[in-house]
Parts: sequence; C-alpha cells; structure tokens
Amino acid sequence: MSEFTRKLSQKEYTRRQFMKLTGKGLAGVALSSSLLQLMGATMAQAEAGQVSVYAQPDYLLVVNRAKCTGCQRCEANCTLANDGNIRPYMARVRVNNSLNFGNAGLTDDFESAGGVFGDWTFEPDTCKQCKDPWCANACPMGAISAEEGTGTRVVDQDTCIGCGACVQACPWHMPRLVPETRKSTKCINCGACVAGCPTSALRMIAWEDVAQVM
Amino acid sequence: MYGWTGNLLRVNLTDRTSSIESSEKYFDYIGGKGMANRIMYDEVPAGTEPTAPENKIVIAVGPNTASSAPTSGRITLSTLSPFTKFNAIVDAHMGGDTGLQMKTAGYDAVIIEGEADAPVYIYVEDDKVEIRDASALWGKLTGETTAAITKETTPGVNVVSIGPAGENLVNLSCVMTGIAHCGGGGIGKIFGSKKLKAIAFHGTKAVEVADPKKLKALNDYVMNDLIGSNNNHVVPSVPQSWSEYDAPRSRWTGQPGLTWGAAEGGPIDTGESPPGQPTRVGFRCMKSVFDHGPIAEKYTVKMTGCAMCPIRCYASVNIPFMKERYGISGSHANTCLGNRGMANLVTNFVDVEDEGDGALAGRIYGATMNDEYGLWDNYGEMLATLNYFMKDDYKLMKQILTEEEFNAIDWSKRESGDLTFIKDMIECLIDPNHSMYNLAQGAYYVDEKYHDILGDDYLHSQALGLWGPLGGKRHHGNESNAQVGLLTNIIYNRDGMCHTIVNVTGSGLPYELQKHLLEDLFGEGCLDRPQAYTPMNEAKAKFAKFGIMRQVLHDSMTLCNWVWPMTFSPRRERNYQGDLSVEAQYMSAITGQDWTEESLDFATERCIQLHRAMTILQAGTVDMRKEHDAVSEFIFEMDPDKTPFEEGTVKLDREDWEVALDMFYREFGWDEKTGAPTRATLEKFGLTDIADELAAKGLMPA
Repeated sequence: MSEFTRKLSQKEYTRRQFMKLTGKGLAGVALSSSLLQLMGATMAQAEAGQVSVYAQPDYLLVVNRAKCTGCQRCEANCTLANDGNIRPYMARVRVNNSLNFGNAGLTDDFESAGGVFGDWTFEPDTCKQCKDPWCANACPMGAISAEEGTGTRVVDQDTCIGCGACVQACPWHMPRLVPETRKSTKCINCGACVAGCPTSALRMIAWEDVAQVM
Repeated sequence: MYGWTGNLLRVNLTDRTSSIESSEKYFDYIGGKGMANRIMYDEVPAGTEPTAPENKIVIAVGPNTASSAPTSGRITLSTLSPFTKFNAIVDAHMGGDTGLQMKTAGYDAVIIEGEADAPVYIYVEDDKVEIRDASALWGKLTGETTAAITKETTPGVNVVSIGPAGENLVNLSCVMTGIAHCGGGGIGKIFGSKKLKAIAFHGTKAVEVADPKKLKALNDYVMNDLIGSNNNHVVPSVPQSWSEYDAPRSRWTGQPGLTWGAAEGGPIDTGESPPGQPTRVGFRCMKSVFDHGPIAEKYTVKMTGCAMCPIRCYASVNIPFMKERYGISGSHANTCLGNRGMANLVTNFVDVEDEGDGALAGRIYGATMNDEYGLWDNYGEMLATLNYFMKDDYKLMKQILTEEEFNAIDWSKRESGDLTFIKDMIECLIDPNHSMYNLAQGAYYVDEKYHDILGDDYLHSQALGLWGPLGGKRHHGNESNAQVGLLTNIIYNRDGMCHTIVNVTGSGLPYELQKHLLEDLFGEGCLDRPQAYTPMNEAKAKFAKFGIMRQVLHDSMTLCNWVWPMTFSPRRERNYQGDLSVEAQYMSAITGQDWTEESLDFATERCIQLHRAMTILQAGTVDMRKEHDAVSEFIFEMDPDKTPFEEGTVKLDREDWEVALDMFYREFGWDEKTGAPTRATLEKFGLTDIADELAAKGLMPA
C-alpha cells in the first residue's frame, strides 16, 4: 500500500463510505458523476444495485453485471496467469456456475430468474478481500494473512494444511482447494481477469484515481 | 501431456458401461472433426444405417479447445447423416460451453455406441461417468431438460440435449446446449435412436499447455492487432474517429450512440472499440441490430456467445410483451440464420408498440420454438420447403395432407400474424403420425417421398436453394465469390459452413486492397469484383482450397471459423495485413511440438482426404463428380435475363464449372474424371489402409 493510499484510506469519510459497501451494491450512496464514469457505470445501474464495489487493499474492484456477457475469459486468464494452465474450476473469479440460471441459483420458475435461461443477469463471483476476512479468520493454521506492502489476503502455501475451512467459511466459497496439492488458493489481486475482460465488466480502480474524482 | 488430454471416453449404451482409452493414436488427425472422423472410419463400417445401434456418435475437441485462445470454445459431433443422400459422414459443429466442460473433464473425444433400451442421459464429471435414467425427461423441451439435469447434478454443468424432435426421430433435428447453441446435421435423430436424451459434462481439471507465456503473448497479439468482429470484419460499419475505412455491411456494428438498449440499469453505449483496446472488443459485434434491424436496439439486454470468445455474436433480447401475448418469456438469443428461425412461416406480423416489433417478436418466437423442440432448420431449407408446399393457395400441402389433417390446421393464423401458427406447424412436423412429418426429413427425402407430385423442379429450385441435390443447403456458395464459394460447399454431406472465403470478402476493406493482399497468397485473379466474376483460374482453385483447409483446421484444433482465420487485420499500421501463421504458433505453444504453417496444412489435408475417402466408401461409388458433387440446376439458370460473367449475376456457366472442378480436384490430388483421391494421394497422407479398402471394393479411380 503506497503512502498516498494509506493516507487516503485514513480519510474517515471516504474509507468508511467504501468499506460499508463491501459485498453490497451501491444503492442509496451518493455518487458523483465523475466517480460513476470512472467505474464505467450509470446512476441508474448504481441505484438498481447491480454495480458491486468492493474495497480492496489498494483498489476498488468494480463488477458491472450489465456488461458481463458470460465469455468466461476471466476464468481462463486467471489460471493462465497464476497457474500456467487453463482451469476455470480453479479460477479465483468465476461466472460459469451463474451463467445458465443466475447468481441466485436454479429455481423452479427459472424463466423468470437470472441467467441465460432467464433475464440475462449473471456476474462473476469475486474475492472481496474482506476487511475482516472470513477465510483468514477460519484458518486454524493462520495461513491466510495480509501481504506486506499491498494488504492483499494471501495463502501461505507452506503453512496451509488443506483442511478447507477457508472454503467453507467464505460466504461465496471463493477459495479453492487444489485437488492435486491439497492446498488452498485464492485471489491475489493480480488483475489478469480485469485486463482480459472484453467488455470491461470487471475493473480495478486505484484509490489514487478515486481520490482524484471525489 | 500438453494440449490434448490423451483420453477417449467410450460409453456403451447397450450394456451401460464406460471405459477410458488412450487418444494418442488419433493425434495425426489433430482433434475435433479430424479425430472424430477417423474414429468413425475405424469403428463404423461403410453401409451402416444411421439409426442402427452400430452407428456411433463421436464428440471431439482439439488441442486448442478451451486453451484461452480467442474463440477456442468449439466442439465437433460426428455421425452418419440421416438426412442427405448416401447417409455418409456428417459433422455438427457447436459452440457454447460444451467444449470447455468436456475438455476440463479430461477427454479429447467421447464415443457413444449401442442403444439404450429405455431413455437415459450420460453424466460425466471428470472420471465419474454415469448412465442415468431419463424416463422423466423424455418429452421435455430442451430448456426444461437443462434445468432438470442441473437440479440432479451440479450448478455449472453443461447439458447437451435433444428435444421432442430428436426423440421422434425427425431427420432435421439437433442437439441444443445453453440457451441456443445448436449442433445440427440431424444428430438429434441419432441421439433419439439411441434413446439418449442428453449428455452432460462438468469438468474440474486443467488444460495443460507447454508454454503459458507464449500463449498469453499470442492472445494479446490476436486481441490487440488481428481480431475484428464476427466473420473477422475488420472495419466498422460507420465512420469512426480512428477508422480509415467503413462498410455498411460490416458486422463491426458497435458504434457511438448504438446501445444495448435494454441493459439492466439503462442503455450501455457500444461506442468505439479501436484495435489495441482488448477490453472493448466485446462491444464490436452488435448483431441484434445487424440481424433484426434498428427495432432490436431497445430490446437488446446484452450480447452473449460461446465460452472463450471475445466476439459476442449472440443477440440476447428480451421482449416483455411476448409473455402476455404468446405465453413465452420473450427472452432469447441467437445469431445469423438462427435468429430467423421459422418466423417467415407467417406472412404478416402485427406490431404491438412500435413499427417493426411484430416481425422481431416473430423471429424470437420462431427461434425459441425451434430451439426448445430441438428442430434443426437445415440452414433455412425446412422453412423453404414448407413455404414451397404452401404456395399457390396450399396446392401441394393439400395433396400431401389428409383432408382431416388439413382442416385441423387454422391456416388463417398465418395471414393474420398469429405467431402460434409456428408452434402449430412444429407440432405437426415432429409428429410421426402426421403427414407433415415427411417435410421435416430434409429436401433429399422430401423429394424421394413426393417426387411424383414435385417432378424435377423442387430439388433444383432457387426457392429451396440447395448447393446440390444431395440435400445440403447452399451456405456461402456461389453467392460468395462465384466458383470459389461453391467449391467450398461440394465436399460435405450437408451445408458447407465454410466461412474462410466470406470472412475475407465481407471484411469491409476496399476491393483493391483485398485483391492485393490475397494475390500475394494465391496468385493473380484469385478475387473477382463483387457481382462481376470472371472465368475460372488456378488462383481461384487455390483460394477455394485454402477456404476449406482453414475451416477443417478450425473445426479440428478447435477455433471458430465464423471468426478465423486472421487473413486481414484492423490495423492501418499493418496495412491491414493479417497473420496466417497464428494457428501454427498456437499449436506449438500449447502442445510443445514444433508446428509450422506447412506441417499444420499437411495434417489438415490428411483430415480432408480422410473425409473424402469415407464419403466414397459410404456412397459406394467412386464417381464423386457425378454422384456427389453435382450442383443444383438453379445455379446455372438463375437470373434468366443475364448471362454468366455478366455484371450483376453469380449465375455460373456449365462449362466453366467443369473447369472449376478439374482445377479444384487437381489441387487436392484427386482424379479429374471422378474427383476421387488417387492411391498416391492417400498414401502421401498416410492413409494406405483406406486406399486398400477402397481398392478392395473397386472404389479407386482407374
């Protein structure tokens, strides 16, 4: 975390406002048009609660559901960058499970729900880099911690015993256990998914940029 | 192992067993189409009936499938054609997520053999393979089937299923996956004949690649410098701040002011997406408006498509008023001809809120019904056939239906614009006890059944639009570069689906620039001016061969031939020069083997020679020229006021077409008299065993 960002994050108003949004939409929050533009969203999208903003250690990760087209390139790019192979199931950003029937899952009245069999709403599940991380709190070995310099929540591979407590504890089950190594893996904020999203549905915005438009 | 998984899954429905074998012996055939075809040759004897338990379904991906390469989501399903003359080898090519899920489940190919004694579906989750009871699914529409199997298995499962059309053994039936991804070629009937309602995949494994850094660099190169829009159109349809050229028929339709008008939270502008902006590429293809017209903008929720593809060509629209008026959600997606569905069975459309929304609703209704019932339109042939039988006040329809059947249909709905007429017709078409069922068997069989009342006109008519009496629809045939396009149609046992040529000519670049770039590759005279074609020459034969070679390569490795090859580029700095070596570079980075354009061409041509030899064996005649490659009469008789080579027509000249065949056969090393591969050609590609079988059966050219 840079000195500038650290100082910004200590600005009570700004930081608190964004941290309150972790895991939630933007409904009810006053947003400037310049901030909306930065996030590639409209006021209507924000008010409809479909633009999710997550406070990251160094960034805001913005998921604009309306722009997600379900190509799954985020999943492929994640594992290509981090694991040197293509393994959507292990990706730390995942849309496949939501594609057909939406993020709320399959219901009997699926034509009235989300997904391609419904109203086309689906979005990738992402790691929120929670302020109070469920995964780290659940780990019996203390293997998940904030990385020095960035604050990103990372798994220490040597300490991880592959018990799966982090997977269970995460409300979105975002960490995965690699079957071959029995070690946990999770998002490290590398940005490969964002860089490869063909419709800019995923964006990471540096706190510095947020400060400039606030 | 890199690229390939090394595994074949064999599922026997008769004894309900499965086993895993090595796929390595098929690597010479790359994967996908090539691998599936060779397995079909090895395991299904010539002369097998398509619906016999001895026929098989081979589903295959390639080393490039799900590799992260742009458009690497595709898959091939091979079997024997139920709907064309000779019942020879036919491939269905499908997008969606099936390729990704099957590959990550750990298989290069799945062989489905035998037949079940009661409805089943196959569930594949990595190494776990189950043959499950599908009696409760039999009769269900494809969407309901996907939901039911998802409920029984796991979220994110990919379901490939037939609808009632396949169950009822309609020749023109398909498999569906996702909302509207279709595998045609009559394969739905083969699923149905095996009482196989569906196959579902869920994969958790990795696609291992030899050189991830090189792969990433190739992805960046393609996304920044080479890829355009759908059909790799490389210039926008309207002038943009960065563009030198524009072309109204380009499929690069995204532009400032044109929106996903029904996007959640308000319209999203498709805007400018110049080369060098990979996170904007997905806005280039505004296919909803391209396919449906301007009325579609306000109903477009977003554009979607296949796994791994940045070109979003599926127009995902939602028409709220359809629920109340027609009892369907009004939410559907498709692309190209799939978007027309059976809409034009109705002759008038009733607008609801705006001018033109009635026709749009008709298209969505027609496409939804086709996809839900698993009915395949043979690239528009079924619709053409129905309209042929309904013309002149239903003259032919009255002859083939019983009086009771004819009177039971409310024909007035057709003219009044009641879209439920489409559903009424579909329910007749898929009912084996209804006479209209005979019209959903493919034009070849329609003609065979009703030749007495049709005479010679129907099969060769422009209204029907077959490339030839074999029964395949013309698909970028002579309307796409005259002889060149038509040559790409004739080697298949269905519609050709080769897009290499039309991608080039529709690119939007000026003719002189296209000509300059192509003549470097194929020689002088390879590219005629649009609607002003010239007599056949060898450069055109080379161009046609290139078209098929790349198509078969893409269907084998796999990539999408609706976007590839990268013949041109959108970049002015490159003088719009594409890069035809990228496929070989991908193969090298992924497999770790040393592939060149030449070695990949050689492997690809092996697949084409195999396909040709299989067709000869299954047809039981060596005379491909006369018995297989014969084209429809309308191609020589269209535009009666014009003569061949006159500006404004693609009417072909009979003698010139024979010259075209001579030159084309020479390019492939085929006997000029018959169009059959010579022994030397087959041996050159390592197909000696097939040459021996052909010779033993007297099917080798003299």
